[in-house]
Amino acid sequence: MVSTLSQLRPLRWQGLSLDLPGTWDPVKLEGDASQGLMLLADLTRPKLGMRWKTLKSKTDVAKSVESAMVDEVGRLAANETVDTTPPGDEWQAGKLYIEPDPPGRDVWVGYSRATKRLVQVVYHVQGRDRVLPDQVLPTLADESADWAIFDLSCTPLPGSVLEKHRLNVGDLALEFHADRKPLVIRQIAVASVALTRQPIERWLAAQQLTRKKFYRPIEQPQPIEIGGLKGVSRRIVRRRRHFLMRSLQKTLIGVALLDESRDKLLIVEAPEMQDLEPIIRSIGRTHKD
Amino acid sequence: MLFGTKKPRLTPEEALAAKPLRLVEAEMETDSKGGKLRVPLKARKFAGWMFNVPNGAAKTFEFDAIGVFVWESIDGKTSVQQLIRKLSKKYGLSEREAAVSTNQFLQMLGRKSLIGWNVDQRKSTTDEH
Repeated sequence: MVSTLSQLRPLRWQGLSLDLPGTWDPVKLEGDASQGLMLLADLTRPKLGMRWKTLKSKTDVAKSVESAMVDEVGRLAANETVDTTPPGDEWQAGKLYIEPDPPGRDVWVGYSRATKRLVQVVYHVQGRDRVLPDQVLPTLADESADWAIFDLSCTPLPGSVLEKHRLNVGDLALEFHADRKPLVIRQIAVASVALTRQPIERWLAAQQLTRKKFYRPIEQPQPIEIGGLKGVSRRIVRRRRHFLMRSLQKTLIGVALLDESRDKLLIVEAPEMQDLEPIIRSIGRTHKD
Repeated sequence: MLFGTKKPRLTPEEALAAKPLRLVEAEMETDSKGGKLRVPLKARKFAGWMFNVPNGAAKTFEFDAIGVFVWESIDGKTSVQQLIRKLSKKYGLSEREAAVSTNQFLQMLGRKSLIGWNVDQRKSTTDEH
């Protein structure tokens, strides 16, 4: 068996939610909430692939699932599928194909009523195991408001859409926008090493410098404490010459905090302090749960 | 191959099982930020004849705390996989994060001729092609 339940780690991306073995990490992430794909691998080989695509409202769901399965495994294999639907009301018309003679691919295809998406999960099976039906599929859910990737987990503002992601080693950043409100959540590891390079004020300044074309700082970094985490905050305002650009928020607040228990440096940017606080409190919560 | 020898290509498993070993005998001076490795310069045959390398000349490499940890773990017996596990455990990183940073760091050390590789290659992949 590849894993035990104690080693599972949450993965929340574009509304899809899974708990996967801790050694599987995303190596490819493409697309948005309507259509995209994700590939996970351990240190030696690909393990799991996921694809999702929004179906048009009048599409026959059963036919779409069948057709996706045929495309993935071929007509003969598609005839050997069994109906399998993960727990949760959102799933419909799930079909599972188990490769009888591994190595090969176990494939599950299903439709989510919640987001009207066709979801495909492909598990690269080396020897005969039941990781896909017994461990992966029971944790599959849709319409999650949380995001969790590598060691970064958070709950952004409701209705947030991911605009950009930068997942470098030790520097994970997710950029959202929600109703014209920009939101940046960045996590730097290892904080103790990062802070030997430059102080926390300069980490925040460097983040805010990326907006210098449109914004300027109006104050010195102020000490702040949110949810038991200590750090600094600084407000930046839209430059006067961009007063016609109503799509840009007038002010943005940046906060840099040190999470000593997880040894991470958190940098969050949002238009208002009341938006920031619940987001900061949510960072890392999914992993602790 | 016409010039030089073709480098053997390693499978991911072989690369993870490879054991890096130090090629220089140098002391790491550690401080709160990391450490400094002073490597004595040795004159090569031709360069030694052409240029006079002063006695005690050394090249200094600066390491951060993670670099010091990896350098001190390199002993010719610890495999890359073990290094990755040790690093991810010590700093609370995911295995992928630890693997990417460790591999890049080891490659950099290799380019600077500070480390070599002890590879247990069961069957060279170059022979198969």
